[in-house]
Amino acid sequence: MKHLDEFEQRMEQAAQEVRQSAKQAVPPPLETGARRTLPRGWLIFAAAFGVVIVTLGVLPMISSPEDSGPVSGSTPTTTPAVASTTVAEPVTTAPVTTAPPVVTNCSAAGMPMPAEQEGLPAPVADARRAIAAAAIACDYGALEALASPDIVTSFGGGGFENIPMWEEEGTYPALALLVELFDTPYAFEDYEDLPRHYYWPSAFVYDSWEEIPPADMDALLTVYTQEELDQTAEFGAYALWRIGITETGEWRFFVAGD
Amino acid sequence: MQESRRHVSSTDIGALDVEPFESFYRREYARMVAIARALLQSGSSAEDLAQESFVAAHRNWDRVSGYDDPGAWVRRVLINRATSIHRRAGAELRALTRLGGRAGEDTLPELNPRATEVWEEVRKLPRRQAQATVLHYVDQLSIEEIGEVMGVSTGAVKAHLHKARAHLSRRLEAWGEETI
Repeated sequence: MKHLDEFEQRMEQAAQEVRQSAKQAVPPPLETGARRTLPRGWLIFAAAFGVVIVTLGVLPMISSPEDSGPVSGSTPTTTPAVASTTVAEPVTTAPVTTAPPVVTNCSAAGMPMPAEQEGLPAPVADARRAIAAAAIACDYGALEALASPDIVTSFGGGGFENIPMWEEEGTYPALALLVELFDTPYAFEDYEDLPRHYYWPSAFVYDSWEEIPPADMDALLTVYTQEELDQTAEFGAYALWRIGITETGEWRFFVAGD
Repeated sequence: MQESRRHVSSTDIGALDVEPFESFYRREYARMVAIARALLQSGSSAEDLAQESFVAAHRNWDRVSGYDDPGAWVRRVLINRATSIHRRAGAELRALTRLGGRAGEDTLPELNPRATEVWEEVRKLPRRQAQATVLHYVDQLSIEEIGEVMGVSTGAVKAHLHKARAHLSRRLEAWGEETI
């Protein structure tokens, strides 16, 4: 008990020190810029965000096709297409009617462009480059123009509008994640009734955590902490953020979760 | 998914007396800086983070001011952003080095070494444990209030605090041994 008392005492002293230090801070005039109102769709999504829909097999981003061979890195092969057999319509959302704001400060501001990757078809490489550039420029308008109208950003609902909302509320540094993920190795998968999808990071296409090659695992450490990866390992497979672009250059996914 | 959101109906907004943003800002500023200071290493980053969080509140004040506790919303923004800032710190430092610049100087008094040591250990905790610890000790929120800020149940808050205390108290014991 004595030890616990000492612990609590030390925590309280440390907290008191921080509070006293913060009292020296003088609130400056805020540079708030133009005031704007969030589109209603963002609030609707916020209410539904906590719901995670586990729908294995519904979308390629939710479940890796059981029989397709993942191909990762910069030298993809022409693995024969073997597909998941059940493909439902992606989650759709009402179109955003309010023009996304253009801001100059976001989580990706000032980040370097991801290096070019070999082996990507031109439409995919172009889309990757354009998405990263728009994210670094904090240009939501350009990003939305690059996104599929049916882009999936959450299994709880919502499409592109989640991205500026996450940035605004600080829930996730979504734009920085986009840029960071594009700097990891990619992989693609083939499906019976869908175009080939390219994914970042490549770790997503492996059915189990143990299958992820060491180099691909190392790349994840540029995006996540070791602790976050350890927690994911307990889940058994990569279920963190991933980006999906079709071979025709359509940006279909930016989603995390299981 | 741990992150949850409170549903806000348009009928809930604007029905109550709305506090002017300016008085809210001045009243809450030091508390937000304290939370940020505990979650981040640098005092200047803490002030920047607090200000960014208030800017977000100002932009959405029509909505946020209608909440039962607008401060809870700002705290949520702040603790979420603290994580992304922490994550980006390495990249920012590398960029500053390349540009020949240097990080902003601290505008707040330095913490004593014992307090610094405590918060360094807290920042090493899993994100949710660190957030709960700071909200409990620094901001002196109740379990229910912490749950409101973090968007989790009171049971989850208790679990986060229990694990954090267990880890930190072991570290405290280690500190004691190291100083003998």
